[in-house]
Amino acid sequence: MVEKENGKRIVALVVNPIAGMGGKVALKGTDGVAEEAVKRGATPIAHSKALHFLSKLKELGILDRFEWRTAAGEMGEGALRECGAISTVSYSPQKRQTTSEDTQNASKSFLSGGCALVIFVGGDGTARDVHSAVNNKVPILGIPSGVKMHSGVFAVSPEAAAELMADWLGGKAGAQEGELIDLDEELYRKGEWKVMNFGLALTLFEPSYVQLGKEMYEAASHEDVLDGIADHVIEALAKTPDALVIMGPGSTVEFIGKKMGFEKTLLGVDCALGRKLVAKDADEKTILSLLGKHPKAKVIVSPIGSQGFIFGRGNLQLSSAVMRLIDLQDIIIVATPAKLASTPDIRVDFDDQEVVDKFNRKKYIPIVAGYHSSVMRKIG
Amino acid sequence: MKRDPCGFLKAEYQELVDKSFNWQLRTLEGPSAPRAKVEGRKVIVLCSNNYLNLSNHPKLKEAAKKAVDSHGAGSGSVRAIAGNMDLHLQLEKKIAEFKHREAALYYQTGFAANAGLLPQLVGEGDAVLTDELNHGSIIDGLRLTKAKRAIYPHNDLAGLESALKQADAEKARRIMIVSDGVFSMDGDLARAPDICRLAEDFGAMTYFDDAHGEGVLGGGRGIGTHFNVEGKIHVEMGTFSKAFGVVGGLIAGSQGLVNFAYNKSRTWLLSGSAPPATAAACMAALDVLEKEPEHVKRLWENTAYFKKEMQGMGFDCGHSETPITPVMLGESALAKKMSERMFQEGVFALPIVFPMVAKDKARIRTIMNAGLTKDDLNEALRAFEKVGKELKAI
Repeated sequence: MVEKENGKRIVALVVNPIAGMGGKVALKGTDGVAEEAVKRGATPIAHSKALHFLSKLKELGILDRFEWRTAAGEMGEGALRECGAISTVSYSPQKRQTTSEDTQNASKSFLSGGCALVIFVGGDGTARDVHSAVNNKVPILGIPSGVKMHSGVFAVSPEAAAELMADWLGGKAGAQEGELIDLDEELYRKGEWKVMNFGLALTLFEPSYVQLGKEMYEAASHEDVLDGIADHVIEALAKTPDALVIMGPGSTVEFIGKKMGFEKTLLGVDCALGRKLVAKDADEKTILSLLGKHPKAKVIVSPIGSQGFIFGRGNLQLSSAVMRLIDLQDIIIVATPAKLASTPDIRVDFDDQEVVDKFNRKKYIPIVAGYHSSVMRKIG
Repeated sequence: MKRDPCGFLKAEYQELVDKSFNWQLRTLEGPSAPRAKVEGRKVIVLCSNNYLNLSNHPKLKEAAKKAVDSHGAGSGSVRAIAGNMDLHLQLEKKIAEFKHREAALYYQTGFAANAGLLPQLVGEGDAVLTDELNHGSIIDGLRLTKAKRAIYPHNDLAGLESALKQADAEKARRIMIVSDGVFSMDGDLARAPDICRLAEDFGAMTYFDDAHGEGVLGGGRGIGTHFNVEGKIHVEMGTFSKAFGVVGGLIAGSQGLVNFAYNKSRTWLLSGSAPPATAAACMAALDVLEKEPEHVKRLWENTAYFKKEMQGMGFDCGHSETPITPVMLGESALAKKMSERMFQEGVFALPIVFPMVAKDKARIRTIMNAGLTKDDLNEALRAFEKVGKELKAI
């Protein structure tokens, strides 16, 4: 453990300023297309995620328990300064528009200066960059800010990352290996889902539990379960035949869409009206304009990954602006029992606290897990 | 292609064996008793459901023998045709009296009661709300209904309430709440008074499966008496195979419930009725419970002593509120190893491992017995201490 005589732990923070920008404009990642994202009207979100994280550390009274290393400007220095933390800058990017090499080089500089943990703000791509430089010499911890966050090195939220840091100081959290997963973004944008495992990275461990209940007695096949879910959803939608149907990404929703007769994209958000697809792979703007014309809408989503996010991961097009227009009663959440078994809680992540609160007030939300079968789950 | 009609039998069994999910059956060579002979070894049994040791009670054995002499070995038919005996009716009257209810119905097994009655109580346009840890017979019974099923988080009243609100908003014709009375893996109790209060607010029917509560809670009368909500539970379901020491299922409630149940439960209508000896022994069991309260008292005394001593040694006994005492061990391998070693030391207690419980919640589940003496308990405790230390569980 790299610890100073004054008891402070040396940690490093690196922010990928463009992470997550592709999401709302339906780009499914920002690797290599940052300019396109800006052109489409994307705004940076990584900086504010970093601020949320640092503010929570401050609130917990532990911001000063660390000695901070960081990279210049938008790559971390700015956020730390805004929160009143003193930091040492060990790397400066050459150009204003930063690249993945900058993330890698910054991470290398932290390591050679000596540090106990590298915290990064970004998505799966950023995780890979940091890992390739740090190479398991110290643990890394991700603050979710990307479009895709499938790797096991991310905290659930910026605030949760700060709480994890508190546990780490208190000796309650240690290092363990997490899977590094990323999709091939080239293929992903074309609608293909090629998940690649980039090995194991050392990260801070947050204990989580898998409750399986009686699933072992389930006799139905995966296909039958999906069929049941689809029948349930189709029956529910039939009650409001004139509603706009907004279908999120993922294989369960794709199955439902196909059963309804649509060429549903696997990873995009598609919209249908009546029995016709009106927007394929829609971005936030398209969805908002459709909602303007057809305010009565139903949204079908499925939790992403084991962290249980139904909004804010992999479907940033369904933004807080969109969700402001949607009644919670009109959201249909679907998941197979097998998926639910490894998803203890349902979560949302929005940049607008009012929208988050709308969900938090609900406290419990039903998940359709079969025909006429739902599971009540805690939300928030 | 030529089909192999039964090839899957071997293949699927092998799959279970490969994952160690197959059941390895142990054989009792003699009666189910607190000290029994299991595969040639005399062991203290800490895993039977024979809580009160009534299966060996002289009055039950005598009643069974007499019924064989007076009524024969079998009943000859289903109840609806020619298998309805005076003994069955006498038993049902006795159950109703014992449970302080208007009427009762005796089923062939507890599973038959759940699988036969549940799908009849709710149907198209109805909603049924079920605890996520309910017994498999409830899960299977509900699978046969056309009602909408909502599974609520275990014993989570806020979760149940939001499911009730949801069903109410969807204008469900009928709503039914189904819960185990005692949850068999952890030994905790359903929050029956709160569930009944919520049910009342929404006009919902309540159905409690009290398989592990009858003969144990409320002086033996079950969860309704324990929580003083007897009249508020619409369907009290239970079994004679556990604390009552025989076999068979039961429901108790209003006369209307019973009339409905025996006309509609296909399990009841379509399988042969219980043999006379069984019905007579069940009656004797209820009689013993009413006249000899010491059995239930001793069960709880034994439970308190065992729990206290186990916790004193440093074992984690979970949050049980009943004579089911889990010994929490964490890893599946440790629980299996511990059970094996305990058997060698003369204590029969089964490990409960993933996927029946979560991966990090493997345990040995012990079930107390009123027939165990202080010496028996001390011997079992010494074995737990020895093996626990040996495997570094304490």
